[in-house]
Amino acid sequence: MLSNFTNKLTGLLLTLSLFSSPAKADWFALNMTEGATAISEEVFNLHMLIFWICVAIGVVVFSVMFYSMFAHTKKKNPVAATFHESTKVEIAWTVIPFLILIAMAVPASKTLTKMYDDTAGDVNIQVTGFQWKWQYRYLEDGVSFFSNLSTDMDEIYNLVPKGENYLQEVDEAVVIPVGKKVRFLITANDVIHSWWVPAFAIKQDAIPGFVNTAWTKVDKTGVYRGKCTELCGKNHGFMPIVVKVVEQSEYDEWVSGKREAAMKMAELTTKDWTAEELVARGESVYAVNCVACHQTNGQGISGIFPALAGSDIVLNDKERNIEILMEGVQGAAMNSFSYLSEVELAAVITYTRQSWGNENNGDGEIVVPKDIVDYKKPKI
Amino acid sequence: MSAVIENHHDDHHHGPAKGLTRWLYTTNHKDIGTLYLWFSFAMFLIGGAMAMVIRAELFQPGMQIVEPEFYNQMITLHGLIMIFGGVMPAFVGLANWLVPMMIGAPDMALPRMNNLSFWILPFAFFILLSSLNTICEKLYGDKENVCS
Repeated sequence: MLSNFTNKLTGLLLTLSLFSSPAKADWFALNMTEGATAISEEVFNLHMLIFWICVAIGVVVFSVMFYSMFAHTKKKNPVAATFHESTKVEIAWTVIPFLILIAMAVPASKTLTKMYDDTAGDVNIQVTGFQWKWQYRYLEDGVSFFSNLSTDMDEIYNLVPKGENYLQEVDEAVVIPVGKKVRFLITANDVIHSWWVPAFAIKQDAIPGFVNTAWTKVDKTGVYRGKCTELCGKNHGFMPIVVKVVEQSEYDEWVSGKREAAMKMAELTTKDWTAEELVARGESVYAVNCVACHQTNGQGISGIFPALAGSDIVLNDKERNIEILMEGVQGAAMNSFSYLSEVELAAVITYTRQSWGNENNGDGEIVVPKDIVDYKKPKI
Repeated sequence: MSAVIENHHDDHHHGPAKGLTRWLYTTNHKDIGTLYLWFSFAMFLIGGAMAMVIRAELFQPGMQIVEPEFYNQMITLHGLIMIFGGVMPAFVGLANWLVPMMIGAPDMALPRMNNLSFWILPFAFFILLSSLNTICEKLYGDKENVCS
């Protein structure tokens, strides 16, 4: 009997201790974490406060209920009480919950007003949700890039074992400096997405035509991962967010490295490309942007996504080929990819025209970046 | 010769309606309540089947059973069918059954409209379910690509 009781008591204490211990990313940790910023720690503390208030209310309510049930079973010959109203009780059970609500609302409002600060930060980044990737534009530094999922399709289709950051890894992470206020201006290009990084306690909808703001000031360097949290179509679960928080000096190096790469890209558009160079570049562009629908072997999925291998447009109609990439296809799932650089567009079209046997069956024409630039010129 | 013309039409008394007519043309709040509850049960099973597809796919990480487009249709329709096809008609069915009895009324006000309100539901959910690609293609063929 006593051992039974001590067993239950130990169990109860262990459960409670799991709820109160702060961030431990163990497999048996049940609670949310304190995150990496001052705001996220406030949010965690608010959660714990409200949690314990709810526990207290639950204990009181259930103990009164269980007492009433067990003290008034038929065996105990209950006698009904003979009162039928009590203004004092009614006042008490209005005032006490009201006070509890105030006790919860005051600290919550304090944190909320801190979160709704949209004054400029040291770094300002425009975050744009696309189907199905994120674009980051650093407004002062002129750095701009896309961030795509980099998990292999093979892992997703269970052909190889899954990596440690399965569906949480990208090709280009957002880099921000530690200890500085970073403001995010969040919007979208097509449908509603949502930018969520739990370690920062940030979750803001990315709405086309509207700019939402969020800010953070991260205390510790490290890598923080998040996800898209608004159903946005086929690959909603496949557009994660990775934020790398680094020292200011490393951040400055990264920005200048990005700027140089952008200048090189501008030069590349005008240089003379060979077919091999374009195909090599195009293969990686294809793997990031096209594989999900048209598949690695160019066969597509019959009935839904057309095959590019042996396709009439890819083999013979260079103009239409470029037009489809730039405009998308009305009424079909094919979107416009005009936001890719001219080099990437030319490379990926050339890759499709020179792969899977297409190089032998069509007119063999390749597309160079200049063709894309020409397409973009206004047609008189 | 009789000065009074007697009307014998009420001699054949129509009993209560039987079979399909009873359910199609009912103005009885208890019958309508029953219709709502059975409908809600059927929708619960359909929405539940979709939940099972979702669970089967989510059992392990990775894509095993359904493609993303179909999975998205499953989660969307599961929610719509459960709320608008399961929960809300169930409440209405219970209300139709109990409220007139509880307040001592002979029936609901506007009994024929009450009936029409129910019969809109099966048609509405037929349209909703036909939005599923697989069903849409079987019903309408897919000549002009209306089903994607």
